[in-house]
Amino acid sequence: MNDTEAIKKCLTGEIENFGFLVKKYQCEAFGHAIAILGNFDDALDAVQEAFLDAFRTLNKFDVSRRFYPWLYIIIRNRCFKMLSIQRKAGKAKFGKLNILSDSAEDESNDKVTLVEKALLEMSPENREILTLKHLDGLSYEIIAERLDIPVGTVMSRLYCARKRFREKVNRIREKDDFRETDDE
Amino acid sequence: MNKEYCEKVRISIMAISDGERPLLSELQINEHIKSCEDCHLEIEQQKYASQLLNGQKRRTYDVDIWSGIKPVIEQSAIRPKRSLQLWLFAALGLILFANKIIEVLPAFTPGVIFKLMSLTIVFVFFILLGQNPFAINQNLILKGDLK
Repeated sequence: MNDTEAIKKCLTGEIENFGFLVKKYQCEAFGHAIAILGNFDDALDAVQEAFLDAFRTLNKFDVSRRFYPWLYIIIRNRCFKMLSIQRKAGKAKFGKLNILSDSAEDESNDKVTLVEKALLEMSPENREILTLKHLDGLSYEIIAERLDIPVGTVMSRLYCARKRFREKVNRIREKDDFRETDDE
Repeated sequence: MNKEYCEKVRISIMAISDGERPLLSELQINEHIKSCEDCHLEIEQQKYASQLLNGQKRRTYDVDIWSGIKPVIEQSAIRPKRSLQLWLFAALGLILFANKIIEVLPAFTPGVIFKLMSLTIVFVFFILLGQNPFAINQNLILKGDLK
């Protein structure tokens, strides 16, 4: 069964077919949500709510298009809504970010830790665009489609995000060097 | 050197390294880099950031979202949709309105059965919906209590 068949069956009332879509995309969706929210529990809530939103508005979905980009827009709306509520309440919580896969080599694991630390210090918007480009390997055009912005904006946002990332990496390195010399 | 142009050059270089179409031609970029020390330095730093990010892979989480949302979805599938409810209420309103119009016609003298018809329609309607119009919703909160 493919996505379109599952959606069409869902729309005729066979709701168990929505389970096929959820099971197919739940891990990917969760990975994207945690990259924006930086928190496991919030990401879980956001993805659950997003799938429910998708189910409720499935009749508005254009079956000639791909399902996941549409779902992604719902997920990011949920995530940013959640962040805005948390910010207003002064409760924005960023846990230990675990969005990167560990490497088999110790040296590369240090690199993973450094990148994760830098990503955690970045704004969710910058973190989102960086992870879409570098972790998912999406083209500018697809990122533009996902974020609903022009390609030119993707370029400038990505440029700014990389610049911020570099600044964060340098700052973390400086801090670590300072600690090492302090220990000596 | 124009700051805006420098940024265009830097964005173009980033696009080229990502395999995308740049804002400026390669000739324009090369000419600029030759004369702009800042951009030259910036390119080196860009390469470093890309190297750090490019080798990374997204962690895969084994989460089970379906079992969490399945009961909610099943519940919402049993309940009639909101739009359907609205249509039913609109139809009821129309029937009652027509009933009242016929009742007030001067040439028409309605009997007891006709007068009771509207009440019967409403009664049957609520039975069909499975709703009790006299039930008190205890979950309602007064505006003042929200504070």
